[in-house]
Amino acid sequence: MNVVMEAIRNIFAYEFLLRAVIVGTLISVCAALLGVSLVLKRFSMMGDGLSHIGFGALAVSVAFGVSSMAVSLPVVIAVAFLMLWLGDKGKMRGDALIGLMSTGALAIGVMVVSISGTNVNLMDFLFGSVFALTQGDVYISLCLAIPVLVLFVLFYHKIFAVTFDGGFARATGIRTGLYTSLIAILTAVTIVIGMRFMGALLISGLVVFPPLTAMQLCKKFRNVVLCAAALSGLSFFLGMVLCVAIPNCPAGAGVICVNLVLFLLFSLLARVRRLVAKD
Amino acid sequence: MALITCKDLTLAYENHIVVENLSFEVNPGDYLCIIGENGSGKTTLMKALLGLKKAKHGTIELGDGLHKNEIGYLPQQTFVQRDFPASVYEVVLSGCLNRSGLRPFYTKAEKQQALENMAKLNITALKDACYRELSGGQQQRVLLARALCAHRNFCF
Repeated sequence: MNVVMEAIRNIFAYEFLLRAVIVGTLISVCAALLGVSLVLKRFSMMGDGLSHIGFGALAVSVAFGVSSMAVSLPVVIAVAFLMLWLGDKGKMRGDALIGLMSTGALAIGVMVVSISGTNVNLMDFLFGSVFALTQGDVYISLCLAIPVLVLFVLFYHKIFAVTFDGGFARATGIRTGLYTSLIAILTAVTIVIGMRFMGALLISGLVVFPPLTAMQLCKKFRNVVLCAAALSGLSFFLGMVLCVAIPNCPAGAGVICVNLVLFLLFSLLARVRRLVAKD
Repeated sequence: MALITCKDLTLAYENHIVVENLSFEVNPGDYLCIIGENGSGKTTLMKALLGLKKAKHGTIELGDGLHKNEIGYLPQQTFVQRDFPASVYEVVLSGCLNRSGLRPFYTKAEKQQALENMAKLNITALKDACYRELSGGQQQRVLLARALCAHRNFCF
C-alpha cells in the first residue's frame, strides 16, 4: 500500500509525470467516447488500423526530417474518411480493408526506418513512451483533445442516432455523412495524439476496452458513454501509478493491463447479476 | 400538387433491374400499399423514395411543401441494433432529432411528444427498459413510436 501511496505522491510531485497523466487521461476519455460509437458500428479495429497508418506516416516524416504531426495528422484523417466511407457504402468489407491498410503501413514504416538509418527507437514508436512528452506536446494535445470533447458533447444525440440506425437518420433528413465524417476526424486526431504515449500497437486498446467494459453492465446509451469515459480515465491513472510503483514497468502496457482487469471484473459482475436475476 | 411524384422510375441493384418505368403520385390523405413477391423490389422502391438509394433512371420529386425532415419511417431491423445498449426512451426520442438542426439538446416539447407517442403504442411501462432485451414485437412498437416522432407530414 505504501508503494502505491508513494507512487501517487510522486506523480503529483514531478512535472513530467503530471504532464503525462494530464494528457493521457484526456486522450483516454476522448478515445473511450468515440470508441462507444465505433464498437457499436462494428468498427472496433479502426483505431488499430489508423494507428498503424500513423506509424507509417511518422516513420516517413522522421526519415525526411519534417514535423511528424504535420504529416501524420492529415494522412490519418484521410484514411479514417476512406475507411468509414468505403465501409458505409459496402464497397469492401471493413475488417479486410483495415487488415490490408494496417499491415501495409506498418511494413512501409519499418522499411523506411531501417533503410534510412535514422536514429530512432522502434520500441518507442510501437509501444509508446509516456515520459518523452515535452511541454509543446502537452499544449498540442490539449488544443486537440478539448475540441474533441466539446464536439462530442454538442453532437451527442446525433452521434447516437447515426450509430443506432444510420438508415433511419438519413431517411428522415439528418445529414449522416456529416456526422460520420465528424467521428472519423475526431477518431483520427485522438489516435495521432494518443499513439505518441501509448504506441502504435497499443493505442487501439483505449478505443475498444472501455466501451466493451461499460457495456457489460450498462443498459442505457448515456450510461455506457459516461461509464466508458470514467473507466478510461481511471484506467489510465491506475496504469501510471503501476508504472511509477513498479520498476521497469512500461506505461502503455500497464494502462492496457488495468483495462483488461476491469473488463474481466465487469464481465464477472454481469454474470453474477444474471444469475441473481434468474433466481 | 402531389406530395410525391415518381416519373419513369427504373430501379436496380447490382445491375439487375427490378422495377422499370414506374410512374405514380401520392397525394395528401392517400394510403398506398405496395404488394409483391420476395425480390420484386418493394424494399428497393422504399429505399429510393426515402433517398437511401439512387434511381437508375427517372425522377422522384417531393412536392407540396414536403421536406425530408417531416418524414417518418419504420425500417426493418438492422444487425447493429440487436445488441445495442439503449433505453426505449432514448430510441423513441431520437425520432425527434430531424428538426433540431444544430441545436445540441432536445426541447421540453420534443420530450413530451416522445412520451405521448409511447403512450399511444402502450409502451410507457417499458420507458427505461433496455431495447435489446425486448421481444421482436415490442422492438417494432418502439421503432414505430420513433417513426411517429419523426413524421409531421408523411409516414412510410
